[in-house]
Amino acid sequence: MSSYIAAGLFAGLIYSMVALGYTLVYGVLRLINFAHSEVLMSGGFAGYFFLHYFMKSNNEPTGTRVLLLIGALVASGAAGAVVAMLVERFAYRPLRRRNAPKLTYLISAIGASYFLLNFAGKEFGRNPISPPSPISATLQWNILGTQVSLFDVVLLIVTLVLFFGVNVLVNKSKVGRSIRAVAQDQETATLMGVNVNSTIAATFAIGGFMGGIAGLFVGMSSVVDYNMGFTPALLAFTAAVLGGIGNIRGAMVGGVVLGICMYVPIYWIGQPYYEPVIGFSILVLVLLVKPTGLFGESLGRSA
Amino acid sequence: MLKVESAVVRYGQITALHGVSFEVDQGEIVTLLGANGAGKTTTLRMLSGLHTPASGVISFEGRDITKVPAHQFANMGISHVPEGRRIFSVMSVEENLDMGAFGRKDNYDDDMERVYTMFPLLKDRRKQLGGNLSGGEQQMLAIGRALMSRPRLLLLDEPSMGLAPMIIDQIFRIIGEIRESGTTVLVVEQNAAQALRLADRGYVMENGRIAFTDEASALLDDPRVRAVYLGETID
Amino acid sequence: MSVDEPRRTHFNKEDVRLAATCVASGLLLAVMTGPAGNPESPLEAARLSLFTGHVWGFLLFGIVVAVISVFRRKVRNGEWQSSRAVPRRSMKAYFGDFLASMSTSWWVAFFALAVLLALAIADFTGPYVPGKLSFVQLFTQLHDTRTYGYIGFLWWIINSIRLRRSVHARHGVLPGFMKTPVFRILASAFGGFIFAFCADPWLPERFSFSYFKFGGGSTTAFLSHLPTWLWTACGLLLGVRAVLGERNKTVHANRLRARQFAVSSNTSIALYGIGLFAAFEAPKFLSPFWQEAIFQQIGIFCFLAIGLNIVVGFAGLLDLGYVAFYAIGAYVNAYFSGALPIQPPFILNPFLSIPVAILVAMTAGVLLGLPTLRLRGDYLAIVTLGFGEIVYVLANNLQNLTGGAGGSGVIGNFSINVPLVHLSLNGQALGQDLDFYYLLLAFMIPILILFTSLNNSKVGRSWAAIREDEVAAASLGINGLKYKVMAFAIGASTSGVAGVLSSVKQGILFPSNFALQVSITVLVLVIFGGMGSITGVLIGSAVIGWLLQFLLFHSFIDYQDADKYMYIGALLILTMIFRPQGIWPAKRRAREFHDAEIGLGTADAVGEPAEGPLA
Repeated sequence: MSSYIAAGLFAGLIYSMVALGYTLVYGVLRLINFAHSEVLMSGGFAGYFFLHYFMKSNNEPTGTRVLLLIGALVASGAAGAVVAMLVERFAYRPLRRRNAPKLTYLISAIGASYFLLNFAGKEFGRNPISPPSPISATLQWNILGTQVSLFDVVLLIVTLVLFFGVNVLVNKSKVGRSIRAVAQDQETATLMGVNVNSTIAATFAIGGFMGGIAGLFVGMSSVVDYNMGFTPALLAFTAAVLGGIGNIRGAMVGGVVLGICMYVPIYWIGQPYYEPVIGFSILVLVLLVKPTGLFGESLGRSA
Repeated sequence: MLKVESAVVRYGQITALHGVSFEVDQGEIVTLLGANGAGKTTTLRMLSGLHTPASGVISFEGRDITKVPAHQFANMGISHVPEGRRIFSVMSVEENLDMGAFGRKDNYDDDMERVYTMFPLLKDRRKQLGGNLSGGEQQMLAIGRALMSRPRLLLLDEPSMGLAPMIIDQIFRIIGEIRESGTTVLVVEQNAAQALRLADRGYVMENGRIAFTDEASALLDDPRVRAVYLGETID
Repeated sequence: MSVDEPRRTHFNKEDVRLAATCVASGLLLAVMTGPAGNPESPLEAARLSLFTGHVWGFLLFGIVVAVISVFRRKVRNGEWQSSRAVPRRSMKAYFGDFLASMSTSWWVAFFALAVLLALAIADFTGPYVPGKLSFVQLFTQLHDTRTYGYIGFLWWIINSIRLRRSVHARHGVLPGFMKTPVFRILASAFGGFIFAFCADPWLPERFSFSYFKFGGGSTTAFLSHLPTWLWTACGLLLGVRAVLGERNKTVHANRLRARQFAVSSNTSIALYGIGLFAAFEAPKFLSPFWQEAIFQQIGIFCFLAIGLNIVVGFAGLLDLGYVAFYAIGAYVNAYFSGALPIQPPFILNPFLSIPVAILVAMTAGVLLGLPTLRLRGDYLAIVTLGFGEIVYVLANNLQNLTGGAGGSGVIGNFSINVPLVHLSLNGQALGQDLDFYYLLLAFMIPILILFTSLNNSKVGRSWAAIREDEVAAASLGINGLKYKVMAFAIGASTSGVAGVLSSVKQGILFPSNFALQVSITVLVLVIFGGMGSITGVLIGSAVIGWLLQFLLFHSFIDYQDADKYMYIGALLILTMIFRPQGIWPAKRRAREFHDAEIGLGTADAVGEPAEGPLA
């Protein structure tokens, strides 16, 4: 039981990171970024290629491993950010310029998602691949009757650091101030001198960075695959809604709560592939009972 | 200082402004009058870049600003107080003022002090969320926010809308003070009598065109203005 | 920038950006159609695409588009003069002006470019041969009759645009006979003929004159192919329409205003008649490959698209779990055929399981719709996406209910066994793929009539009201939820019927037939054709369905079936950017899109009204 809770917690951290991308974009544009799953996938591939090219063997010294890990994090984060910005540039901005109805944004984002998904499938092959992991799999600790691996610890630290960073960035920095202003009122933000387009691009980049890193962790814990993003992204969206979409703290908490809520029933059912079924039921339940989520929907109030 | 030459603005196929021309000189208060839908707000929005004219030229201090993107207007010295205040409701008063100075890279503490001395109420509520302020306070905040970028031209859209008469008097007094401090003001107002008493000159708009223009005092006595905007019958 | 600074005529940053975008798109296309890669050396595929003869065609294409786009921008900004300087005009008009104003030397250069382009197109659409990625191969294409077809086709397009434009433009004098309607209609028909020549997919022999002989089997004789004459007829009709459109100036003006085709009622009746006739007759002349594809790959998708059009087009909702109802229909039929591990109380003929499937799919639609349709539309999209995924996961994993990933048992055939009529499909009695096609047609035609009248009834008007402004609709007493659930249920039941039909044809059900991709493909058909326009959806489905099958064997290098989703995704984005109302939009929908862009109404039931014009 406790091991399921722990597994849920650590899976939840990944959902949190992905959920942040949904939340930020939703907060600013009031749109669900359907292409976010491909941001995750691109992060996974970038991490894979980085490790594939730079990690020569499985017994590198610890110092090199740390460097490799940091390099892979940066590479996948950057890839996620770049892909997210490209999606914004080509699937959203042309529509925004025309003030198009909302349905068109959703459709165009679905198109972007499908394009990226299958483009990756064509260019990188459609068979799952496992990246070499710089994190030792043998190091494990027994905490409260649960096996906690080094991977989990790294994941926890990275997530906490990133969330702390994003929180500071959004609430204290000038970019963050412009993001919050655009989230509340695009036109007035423009009058204040905020460049709405670059602010929105920055929002996508921040969310994309987190999504890309989440992709690296998904890849290292299972496989890298052209459609690896779909299920985690669907669950992460659930997490974002659970925490209150548009709310940064909500994304963090929502992810963890969702992870735990999902893994505990699996303990009873004993069939891991019902994960999405449970996640989806939670989504429907949240939407019916408390559509604003645990923390309410607002990017501005996350301070 | 500001010169608009036959500007045309379209929303899709609907033309909102059919070739509007006017001028605002340094240090003036100029008011735009007109019925609902005459194109006053569209004119102001065009002057802060929110609409790009389909044709025509806008120049500000000798520069052609027709195609400058909207977010660069604040830095050029044009500040816009939009209709309905539009303050950031989930930011504190202070953060709202920070937003007003968004484009500035220098220290703007003294400007913030200036706004606080102009509107002492805001200073007491500096940590409160903008959305929790009353209408009058929000209008003060909106004006204060616009002043944070040290504009040389201030565009005010319906500053008296939905406010109590006492607050309106206060707002108009402050507009006068702003002009005294050297900022040119272009104000759009439904409350024609009060606007004309404050302004130097006025333009009257009808159906997306400038119908006529005169000194403010002359407009106050103009029978056409009195009939339509001041609610008097022509004797 | 000061006021008195003169307008410059050299290229500025915007022009460079525009041109770069076009050229980059050309390169991207080259990579998209290039060889497949593998994770060991991911850049190898891109390198192969970018440093071989293969890329030049697309690069050329990019450059042509770039030149035209920059030209158009310059004219729009008033920096260059076009023959008729009007502030805002279509790409087509600028292209026409560009062609019409060309001097002879440019004209020759342009023709050379067209030849190269045609070579490239012929190369990429031709079958894969070793050494395809080389200049040698590119030029050996000259032996291929199809290459001449493409050259002729391009030449025809360019020249007809040029002729048309120069009728209006001051320069260029045409021989008198070229201006006559008869000549223009005939020229158009000839264009259709040439196109048939290029597009003819099943020619074993190239460049032999026997190819043009009358008689003979349908695989060898071009002139006895029905499609040849169908395309020619299409060209003829287009010519007639162009001539009529010009004669009737008001029709022309309306067309410009609504950004859509306006067809007079006589023409439209004639078109429907021809369409119906073609739908009945044409399949008989097709090759076996197409006879199968026309049911399973095109017909069923048409059917699904018509159902989804109710949800997306009429009610303005985004349903991404549409495939779930298709799966439900298929599995209901499998259950009553006794093909699933759990046995039904009685075995039903697929004809009889259709009503059951309708009922079950409709119930599922209502059950999913009632709680979720209260939500904002974008949440609906993701909830339906999740629902589709759940059905897929369940079908895959409930071994003892659906047979799991290994597939179900064999599903029974359609049969009619009443006195006097004894028919059975999918078997030996009739035994042809076409039987399924005609069965589908028999279901499709009543459904089309039903949906058209539904859209013109009170229900249709309520849907329109909800799309355009849900709050206002509510204030008029229109129960938004009721009509949305209704749309959802109708869409679901249509999908259920499609599920039954296709399950019989497939014989064995695999969960992989019901993956999310199906929903997305159907969505593309609806959107490309024109949301809310039944004719548009039919045309869109037919065109895309044909194209996807065409790609299968006339493919790009290393083309796999799954690659089609890449093109589908790109097509979705491009449609949304350039023509959100689709290729053949419903008048009302086109206007809604336009109104929404200038801030009136919403055009969909997806979320809060669009905010005011943004920077």
